[in-house]
Amino acid sequence: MPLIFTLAFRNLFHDRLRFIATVIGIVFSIVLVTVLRAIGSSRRYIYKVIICQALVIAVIGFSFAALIGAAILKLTAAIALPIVITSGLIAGLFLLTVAMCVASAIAAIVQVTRINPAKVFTR
Amino acid sequence: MNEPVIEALNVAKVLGSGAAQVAALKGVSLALNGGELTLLMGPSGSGKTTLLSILGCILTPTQGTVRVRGHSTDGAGPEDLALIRREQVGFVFQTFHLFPTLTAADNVQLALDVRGEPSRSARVRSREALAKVGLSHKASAFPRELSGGEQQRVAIARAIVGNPSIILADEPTAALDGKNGQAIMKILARIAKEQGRAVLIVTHDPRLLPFADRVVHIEDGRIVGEEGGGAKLQ
Repeated sequence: MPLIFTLAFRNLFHDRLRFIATVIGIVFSIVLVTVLRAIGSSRRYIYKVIICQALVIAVIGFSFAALIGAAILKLTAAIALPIVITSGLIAGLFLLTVAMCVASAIAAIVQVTRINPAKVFTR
Repeated sequence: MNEPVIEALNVAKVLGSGAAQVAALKGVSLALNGGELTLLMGPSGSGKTTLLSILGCILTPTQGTVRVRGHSTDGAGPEDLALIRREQVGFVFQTFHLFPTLTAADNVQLALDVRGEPSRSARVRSREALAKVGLSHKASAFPRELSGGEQQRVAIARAIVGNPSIILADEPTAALDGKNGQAIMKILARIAKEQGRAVLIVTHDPRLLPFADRVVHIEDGRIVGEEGGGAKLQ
């Protein structure tokens, strides 16, 4: 697995609290960003870490939703007005989920550009 | 005489703005040479860490010039400075700043990953760097499984893996006991001598004096004295 993905994925699940916060919106550690900047990483590299996190969240979130959706479908299969979910709808919902997560990642990226890497010495 | 690896020429730095404005550095000149371990000593608030940040191209001076291997950094943008850090500077921090979710080897490899080095060669080089600090056997350990001294050695491996010409260390022994602090200083002195790098250490700790080739004293944003360290006397 590429190291950048390992960093993004494991940082996401570093602790349960962070994961809960991440489900609400992309969060990132200021220390992570300042250390990466201090060791010379480009902004682009940090953006990639954040986008990786967004994609992981999208896949996990969509998987949970798909499981719940499948359960509802099964429960409502026998009623008079069954719910119909087409493969096109599933693909559309997945793309929408990814788009929403990437959009929230962009908000995180805007924050990242404002971080002063010199903070690495004060944290 | 060899050209300094890095030099600050008449550097001033103003931090903050308005009523909170502080002149952290007031016309500091300092040159660091390869193969030398320099201690930068001074009281809290004297400008040590600001000078370290400017030499490490993390902060830019308000006035004056920084030259890295003879090239001025005047006018360099944030990404140009990041490139200089990637290629020329290794940092060691007081509180290590290792990524808790990565193994020791991955933490070291990260310094090469940000340079875009292919992962296979980066993996080999990160293991070699860990071997140089005596931690080959801990490559797969996570930071929480390492002692403070071992974590700092991983941080040193991360600093040297990219083969930088300058190592800048901010209070690298402050979070360690005396024995581990001495071990870290021996490694940093060896890096300066055997690998010909310029090593600058910011510290309050007089126990580090025997390891230094030079000791520079800073107070109130000005360099107030310089002397040979214990390593020169031995």
